[in-house]
Amino acid sequence: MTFPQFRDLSINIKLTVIIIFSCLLVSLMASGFFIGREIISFRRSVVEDLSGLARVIGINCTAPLEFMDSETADEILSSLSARPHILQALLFTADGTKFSQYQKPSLSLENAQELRDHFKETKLQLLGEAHHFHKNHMALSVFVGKPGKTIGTLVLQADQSGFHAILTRLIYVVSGIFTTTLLLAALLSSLLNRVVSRPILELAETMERVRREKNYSIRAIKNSNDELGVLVKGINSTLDDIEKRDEQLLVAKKTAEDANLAKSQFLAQMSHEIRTPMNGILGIASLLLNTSINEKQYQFVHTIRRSGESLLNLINDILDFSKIEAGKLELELIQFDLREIAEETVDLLSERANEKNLNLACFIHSAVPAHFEGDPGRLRQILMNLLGNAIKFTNRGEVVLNIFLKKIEGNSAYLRFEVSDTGIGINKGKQKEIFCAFSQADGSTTRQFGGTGLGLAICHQLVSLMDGEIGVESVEGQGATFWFTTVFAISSFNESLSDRPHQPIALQKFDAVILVAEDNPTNQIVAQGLLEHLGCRIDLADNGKVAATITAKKNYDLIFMDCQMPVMDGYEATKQIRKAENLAGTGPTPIIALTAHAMKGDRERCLAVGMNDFITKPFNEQQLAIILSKWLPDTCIKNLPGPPTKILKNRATQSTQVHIDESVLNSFRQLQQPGKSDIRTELVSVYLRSSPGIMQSLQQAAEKNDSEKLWQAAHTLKSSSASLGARRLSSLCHELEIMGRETRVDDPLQRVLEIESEFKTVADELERILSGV
Amino acid sequence: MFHKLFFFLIFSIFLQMNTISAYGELQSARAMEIQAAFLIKFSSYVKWPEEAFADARAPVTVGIFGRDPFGSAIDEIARSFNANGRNVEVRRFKDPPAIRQSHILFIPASEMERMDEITAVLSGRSVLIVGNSPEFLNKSGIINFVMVGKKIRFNISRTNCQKMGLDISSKLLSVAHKIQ
Repeated sequence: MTFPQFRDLSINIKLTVIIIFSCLLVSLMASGFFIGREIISFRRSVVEDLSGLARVIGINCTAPLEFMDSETADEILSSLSARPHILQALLFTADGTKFSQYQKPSLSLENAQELRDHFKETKLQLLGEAHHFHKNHMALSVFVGKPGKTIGTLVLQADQSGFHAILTRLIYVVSGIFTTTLLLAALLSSLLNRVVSRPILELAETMERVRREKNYSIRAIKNSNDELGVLVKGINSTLDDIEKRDEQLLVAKKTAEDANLAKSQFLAQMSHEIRTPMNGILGIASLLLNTSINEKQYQFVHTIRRSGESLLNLINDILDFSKIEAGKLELELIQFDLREIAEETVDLLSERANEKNLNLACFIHSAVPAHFEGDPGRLRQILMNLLGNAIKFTNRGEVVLNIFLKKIEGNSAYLRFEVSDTGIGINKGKQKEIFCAFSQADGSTTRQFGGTGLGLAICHQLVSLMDGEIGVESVEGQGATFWFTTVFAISSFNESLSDRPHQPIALQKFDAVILVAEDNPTNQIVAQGLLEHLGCRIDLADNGKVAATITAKKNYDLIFMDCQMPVMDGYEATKQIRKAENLAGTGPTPIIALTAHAMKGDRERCLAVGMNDFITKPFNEQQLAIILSKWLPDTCIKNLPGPPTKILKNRATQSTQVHIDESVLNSFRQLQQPGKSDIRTELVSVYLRSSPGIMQSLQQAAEKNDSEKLWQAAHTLKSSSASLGARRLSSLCHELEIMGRETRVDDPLQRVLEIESEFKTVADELERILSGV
Repeated sequence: MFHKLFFFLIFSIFLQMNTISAYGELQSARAMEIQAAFLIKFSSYVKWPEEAFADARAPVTVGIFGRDPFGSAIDEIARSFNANGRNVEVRRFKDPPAIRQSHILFIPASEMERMDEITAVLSGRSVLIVGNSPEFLNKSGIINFVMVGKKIRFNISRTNCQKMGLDISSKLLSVAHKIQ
């Protein structure tokens, strides 16, 4: 519809149309009435006039008619020639015989014929007193004679062209009235526009402005006290209300935001408060494990540490959940190696799987790209959660992580992760609920298996943040498959972030002088203990001020700086240290923040004041070692281990319990082509065939103390062993390789013997596994 | 044969015309019928003095003197006639004294020799004296029927009328053939 509907037109146009329409209607009706009345009155006067004339003539004709004197009658009728509009006169006797006739002399034959036709048509002489209008003339008949004694009929036919002239004149007049009406209506509507529509239009414009600018301080101008005035007043007061409410809302919003901020700060504070004693518990437990304690004591301390770690996980869960609830959780966007993340996660959980005698395997489909950009920490968290749950709820069988590539769109990879277990499974009715907070498949589950019930809720939220979905497929009693999808940008940066050689950190020692600025005595002890265990020499500072003073006097290889300390906090101390360094022109000492803050923003703040890195309390020895190896100059790093410590031995004994990680071996199953011989068997046989030669060259190199050949052989064996899951053998080779590269191998023969014995065990184990298939 | 018939027709038409135009034709039955009607109609065109009537409702008396040339036809015409609110009665008079009762008096051609006697009797009365004889108006007649062409017309003597104290309507005068 191109033409707008009348109701959508501007009120201005509407008013104009209505006014003009009604004016025209009124003038039309008035003109109609006027013309009608004119016609009627004109006709009446014509009739009266004519009938008067007819009566006079009639009376005059009475005697001629009575005495049958047609000559006289003719004479009388011919006197009508004085009236030019009389075209014809006819006098009839009572019996209808034509007695006398007059015709206007100038009357044309045609007109005369027309008159006759009309006369015949109307038969007026029979009707008696009557009149009749015909196109251009009218006819009128009267009786002649005395009342009650009719002796004849007189018919007059008169010209009516005068009437048409009058009609034409009337039409001109009416047209004039119409034009005037239109002009007046236009004038009137423009006046009305000023009085009525303009205020309305102004009001509409004001409201439109309010709507467009969302500015509720705009007010309409009140010009009158009529309904429009009331409307304006009403709108203004509504705007007042809205403005007032907005202000109140703003205040309320501010209050709520303040409260929320306070909550967040409270959470951060709580986290700090809880983490600090946790640091003490976990740190001291770790330290205690490194001391000479008997097996029973070891078990107890180990339990303390495990409990502490669970507690820490719970706190982390709750914090994460709070952050997600508050919408404060933001994902990082950093490069990571998916395989590394997956393997790390599986590694971390393998111990627990082993304890329950479960097979834990990870298969990454070959099409999955290696490097992505995203939040590896959160991805790890999800995997930890799902795998941890799977292990928790599985008592027999296996837990398998599968990673598939769904599709690649542009730079985005759509991944699907599946964690399958052979555990208790989940009732169909509960499958949706378990992703809700504080929900486990069964209330009794909590009692039996523990946990906050937040894990899956957090996973759900995290997956949503990663533009993915999460779900579960399960038959109760037959295990469950939890799956989730994510979208990651594929990283073009191919070099792994972990380009630093993967070293078994525990084997590294550090020859460094380190300052620990930390006010909490427990944490001091923990940090000192752990760092000293890593070979460092430690100075302690109780607060930032002391730290700043000490650093001015003594050079440190690295500083650990607690962020929150009395007198001077870590941020301020860092600033001062950096300032002093600038003045002295000395190189910047790496400063690592020790913070219990787990909230986002802490890291940025630390980096902003000049700190180099960031470690969250509670930390363990491994985390410290990673930091140290990252930030200490290479000269401080001693890969040559000192006398094997107890913890290493412990670890060694622990790890010797498993010579082969079957999950690695099992992962080859995925590569299995149907119909071909078992790929694992082939791999193992190749390994077993080639390895003795390497062992031989190892021995030879050790005997000759040829470190070059030694590390090359160790490297080869390391890689092939690792790919079959012989982790201990691989790490032994790795140690030898590193030492060989640095040509500082002490007692190479002893190490080769150790490798040889491990290889034999591995070979036996492999054969056992394969035969068991 | 056709020839003879045509001549006969022409002749008979000529003959007829000739008879109608003659005074004698004025006495024909058809002419007398028309004269009877006219005679009655005159009553509405003439105004008598008030003393001529006994009262306002008194009838107009049309008298026929002597031998009646109209017959009963005139009674028929009079019965349905109304002259300005008065009925019209037709009376026939044999003797001159009785004619004083009439308002209109018709003198047939046969009674013309008694015209003087009639005039004498009527002296002092207002009577419209109507006749159809030559020289009628010269003998104190007021209206005299004449034959004009084939039509019956009448002449009026205003002098005689005034002598009789009668007022004749101008309308009647307008249709009169001649006025003396």
